[in-house]
Amino acid sequence: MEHIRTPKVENVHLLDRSKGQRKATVGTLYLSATHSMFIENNPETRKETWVLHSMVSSVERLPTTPAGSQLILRCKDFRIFQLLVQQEKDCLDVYASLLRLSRPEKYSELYCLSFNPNINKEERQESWNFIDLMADYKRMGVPNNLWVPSAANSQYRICETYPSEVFIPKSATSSIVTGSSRFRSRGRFPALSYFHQDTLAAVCRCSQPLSGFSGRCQEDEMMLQAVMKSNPGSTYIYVVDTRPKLNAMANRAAGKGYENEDHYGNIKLHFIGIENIHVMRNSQQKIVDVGEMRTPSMTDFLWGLENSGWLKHIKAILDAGVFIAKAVADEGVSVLVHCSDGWDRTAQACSVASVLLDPFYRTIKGMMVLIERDWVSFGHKFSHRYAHLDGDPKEVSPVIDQFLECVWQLSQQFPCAFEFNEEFLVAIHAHVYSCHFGTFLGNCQKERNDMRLRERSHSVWPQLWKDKADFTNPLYKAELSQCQGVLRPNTTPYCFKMWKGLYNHTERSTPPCQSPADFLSAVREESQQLEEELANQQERIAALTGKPLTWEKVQVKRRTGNVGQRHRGPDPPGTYYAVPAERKRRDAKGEERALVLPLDNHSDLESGVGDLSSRSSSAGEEGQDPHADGRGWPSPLPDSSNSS
Amino acid sequence: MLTGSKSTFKVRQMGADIKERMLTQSGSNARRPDVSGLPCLPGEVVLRRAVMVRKKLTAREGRGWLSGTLFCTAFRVAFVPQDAPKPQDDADPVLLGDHDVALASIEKVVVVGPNRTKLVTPNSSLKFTPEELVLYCRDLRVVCFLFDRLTPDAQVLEITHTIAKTYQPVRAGCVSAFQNAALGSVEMKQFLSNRQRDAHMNWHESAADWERELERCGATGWRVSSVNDRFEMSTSLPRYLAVPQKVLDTELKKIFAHFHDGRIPRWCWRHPRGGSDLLRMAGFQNNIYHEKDDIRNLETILFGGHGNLCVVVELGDELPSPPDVQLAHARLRALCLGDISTSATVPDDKWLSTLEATCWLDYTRACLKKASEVARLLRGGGMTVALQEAEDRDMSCVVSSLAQVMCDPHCRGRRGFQSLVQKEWVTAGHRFRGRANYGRDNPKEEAPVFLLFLDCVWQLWSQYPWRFQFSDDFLLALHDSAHLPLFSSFLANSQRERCRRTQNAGQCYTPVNGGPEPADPPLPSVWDWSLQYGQRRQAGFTQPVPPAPRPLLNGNLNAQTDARGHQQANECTPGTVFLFSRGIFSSPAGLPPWRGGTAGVTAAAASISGVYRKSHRRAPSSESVPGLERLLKADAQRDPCRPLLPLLLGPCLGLWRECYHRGALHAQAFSHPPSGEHAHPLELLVREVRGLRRRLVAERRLSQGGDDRDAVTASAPSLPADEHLADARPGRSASITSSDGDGG
Repeated sequence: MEHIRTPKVENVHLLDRSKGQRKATVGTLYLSATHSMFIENNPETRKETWVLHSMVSSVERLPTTPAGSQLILRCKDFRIFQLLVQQEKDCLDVYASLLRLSRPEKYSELYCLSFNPNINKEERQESWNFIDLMADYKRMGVPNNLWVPSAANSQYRICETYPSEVFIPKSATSSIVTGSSRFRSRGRFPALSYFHQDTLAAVCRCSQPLSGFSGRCQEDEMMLQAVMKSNPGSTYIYVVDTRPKLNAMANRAAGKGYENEDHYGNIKLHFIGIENIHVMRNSQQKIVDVGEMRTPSMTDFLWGLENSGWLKHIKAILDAGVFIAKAVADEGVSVLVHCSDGWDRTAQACSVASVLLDPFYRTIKGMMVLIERDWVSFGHKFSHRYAHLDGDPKEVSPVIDQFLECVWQLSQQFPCAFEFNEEFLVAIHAHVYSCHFGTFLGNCQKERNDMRLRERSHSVWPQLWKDKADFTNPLYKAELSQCQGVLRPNTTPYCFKMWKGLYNHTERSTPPCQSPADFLSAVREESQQLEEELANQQERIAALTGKPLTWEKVQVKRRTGNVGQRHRGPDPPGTYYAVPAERKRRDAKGEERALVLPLDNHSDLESGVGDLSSRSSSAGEEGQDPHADGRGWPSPLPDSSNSS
Repeated sequence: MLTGSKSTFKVRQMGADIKERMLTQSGSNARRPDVSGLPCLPGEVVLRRAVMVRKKLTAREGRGWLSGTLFCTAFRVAFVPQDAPKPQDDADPVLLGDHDVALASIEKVVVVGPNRTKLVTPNSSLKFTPEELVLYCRDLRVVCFLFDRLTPDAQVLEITHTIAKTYQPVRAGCVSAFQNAALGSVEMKQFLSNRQRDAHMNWHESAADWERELERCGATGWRVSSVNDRFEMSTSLPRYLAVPQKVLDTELKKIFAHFHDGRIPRWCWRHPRGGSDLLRMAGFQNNIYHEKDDIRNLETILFGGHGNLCVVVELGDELPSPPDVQLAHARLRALCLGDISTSATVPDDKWLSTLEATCWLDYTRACLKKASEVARLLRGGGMTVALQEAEDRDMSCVVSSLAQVMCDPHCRGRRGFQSLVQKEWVTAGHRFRGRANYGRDNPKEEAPVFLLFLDCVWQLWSQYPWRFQFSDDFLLALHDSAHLPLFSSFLANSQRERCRRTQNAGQCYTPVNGGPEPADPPLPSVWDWSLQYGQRRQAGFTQPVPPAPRPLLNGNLNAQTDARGHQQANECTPGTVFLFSRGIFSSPAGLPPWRGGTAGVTAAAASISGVYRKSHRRAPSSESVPGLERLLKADAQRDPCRPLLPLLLGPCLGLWRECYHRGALHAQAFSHPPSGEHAHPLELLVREVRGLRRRLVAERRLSQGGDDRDAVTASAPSLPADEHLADARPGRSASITSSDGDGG
């Protein structure tokens, strides 16, 4: 609290640029220890906008003008808020406070450690057990006679950044593991990431060997031999170095580098060429700039997109995944993946390969498991990469952004293959940065254990699971053949497009635009309403004829929540979200729904459909239709003959 | 007829007489049922056949391979899959099957042998046996056939050469050979002459059609004039023109001379609310002597039935010229198909900038922008918006029809759209023949303006798919048909030409048997879809879920919004004309530029000649300019009559991949075999909704006549699943879901 210089400023103009807002709203700005809150003056809407301090990536103060002083808040999920404060002093205070608040220096300042929703200790414990990695390993069929759990790293003895429980080839003894670990950068020895039951091939991960120009290590060679042997169907393994070959060679001068094919029997080395974190950081900045352009012409946009190189990098990562998936599924050859330290590009390549290989990882739960395994447990440096604390800006890089975008690009090519929708990926993205939950805090499992995060914070996954309805892709049905098997995406450059949902918010809401998936959700919603109405009508008929009708009830298999009512964060106080007062009213009304008689459920239906009106005017018109035809009951689907 | 040795094969130039003989000879062949299983058109000649051929399926078709038999007839390259159902004997002929390519739409034939690729021309010889045959089409399809080892070498060589020889007409500009091959037989002619036209769409050919359109739009104050009945006033305009009731035909006749090619301002469409009219006209003819009355008459036309406000929208400088469009399209083709002969492709990291360099998306955007400006202006009410283009035959077609697609839900239905194309393109005199350049003999005029229009419509479609009744598959089919020189709609430059052809055809025909022969039927219209495609494909032309109906315009809405419109109209002094160009309104000093100008009429006071004076500062009655500008910017989201305005920022426009990238054969993998037994989730969803809807209708009927027991039993819904299967179709679904705009 000591950093807040002024807790409240009145008559502030706010412009949410990412929403394409053109006219500023006037309201009051409040600063708390964790959030900035803006509450509209307009008594009808009283819209609230909450921004978590840890989501703010930069605060910029523009030169003072006669109208007041301006602040520009850029968020880590690329939303931009423009604030106009009338008094310069107030502005300075807000600026200084935000500057400090948005850069916490200690973990204890983070929101997840003070966030205390109303649940008891057992529930909290349960929330952490929601994702069980061992169950996932069991699902893919390990331990078995090829892969066994190893106790070598219990107490994080030989590798601090690895999880305590890892799977290694059965033939690898603990001395081999220890020796191999000594020969690998930061002790990250080869361990199992994914086991493909169909071909018995495996995806393993590690860090670069400390080979230098001529160094070799017998244990490490034996370790790779063991990895190969644990796949009975093949006589060699692929070693995928995800770095560009030049970078890998440069590393040799520093006593690191890559495996020498002469020393290791039966390996095939393959370089992929994913650039390092610094290149990615700059590239993302460029694509964010493209997304922020107010009125990009075709030329600006296409050139900007190409010059950012972002899609090229995404393609490289997807290519890595495709290579691994092909080797594992088609050739039945195990793959060992590494980059420099084996926690950035390796995580990307392994998890993309898993998504391609296993339909389970294309479900909501599966995606959670995958991130928990390949990223959280294997020591991806979340706190450094996503600047949870004020630290070295050179460590920051959008590594998981790229993974999420790869999944998004895949979902564009295979719209029916994923159980989740874009919103889910965006939500994960926001949570990775927000520190609202403890899941992504810290840089490795050991650090998390030391911080006792399981006792002091909550896990994000149950929270996301609760909002499952909002994250469901209406096209997905698990039993369909399109959703099963290995995905084989096309990675020619024209297949990649800019992820507008993340980088380009501007035209999303003006004028109302609706994605086809939203449309489908709306259709589903509609069918649900039809079903309800059907029930009402049946009751009416039963009442009129005095005879109960015994038609079977139509079953709508899956229900989705209110489509329009997407809020990004969990319950308040959330990462940030906006609650129009209208929604609160509607929620209240929704509870009454059961009590309303079937005959006069006008308003009820209207409110049900009404939330679509912000997205599509056509849906809004449907809501009005009952009044227009005046036949006494609402008709959400009037005869289509009017339209043509 | 064709001879060839095993490995080297030289095609002799075939004389016309041999061809003749071949045609007659196999004309008799065609009478007996074809043993090979190809459902032939009446009189169609099968030239060659190759067995055990596999066709590569595109992503849209489900990827993978399909094996069957390949045919080359004088009209098309046909492929019949092994397990294709037997064609019914009495079925109506369909020009193109699902896997067929018309010879006229082939652009290049390439064969792939071991380690080499070769472009095959009519004169080239082959020194190897091809393994793959790739047909690059003008409509940007790439069709690839793979020859199995079991295909006899001779068959492979022969069919390759036959295709290479026949796909190009012997003489440039000769498209009639192709037409004859398809439609020339007696049976086919008979069949065509018995064909009924689609009565549900408006063909805009007769005076009654135009009356119907006026009535539909509620355009009071306009009438249909037959002053151009014999194309004496203007050769390129249609027979019937919609003009204000106030203007007499005698007055009208005097105006024609003042416009380029006699294309006077004429009515196109009226906004259902507020009643703004959309007009089109060509540029003024400056050096013609004119009388004072002419000006008055012109004004009467421009101000139309009601208004005293007219905005002339100039289409000249902001929109691409036809040569621009041609160049852009050529570049786009090169980008999407790759340079076929050198097989050089654009390097991966240059894809976006190369796309940018084609300018195609820029042009699409320019057209959409202009049209959305027009659509916004039309919303204003009580005024006329007149589109002016020098020739009034290219971009004004694009803009006026796009504006109508945006404003008029009727035009977003399939039949409405067809009527629109008929009105604004076919009868309005777009130079289809010249622009399409079917005979490859007139490259100067060639410009795919119509394809640009289709692309614009697709952009709108992809942004608001649920507001259209037709699907993108329909647009695609239209796109492909525009490449076939078979349809009367696309084979003439004007209505006059079209009419002449039908008249002359009978006279030119020389009976072979000496007996009196019926006159040739006119070529079919492109809208005769069942002639071109099978039922399955046609079923995909409409969206599975019809667009949400718009509320009927009732009195309340009108009163509310009209107020603003009238206010607009009242603001300005009667008889004001504004010129709208490059986003700026200006008021020309005199309405027609020739008022008091070069022709030397002294009576007219205004002494500005030649061009409009662009003086938007302190011009007379410029006080209503802000009103108009507000109209352009206003974004009435709650307005139920709000036009469908496209999003125009760079990221929002995409490449029509389903069309331009159909030929992407280098796609990496063939992931899933097409699954016949599983319906697409979208279809299931659609079925669900349909089922519910039916039951609802049934139940509503029930509850209205609640005591009527008969109704209860009669309409008790029984919903057999297969009833819906007819509506469900594979292939559609992918388009809905992947329609999100490409990033570039």
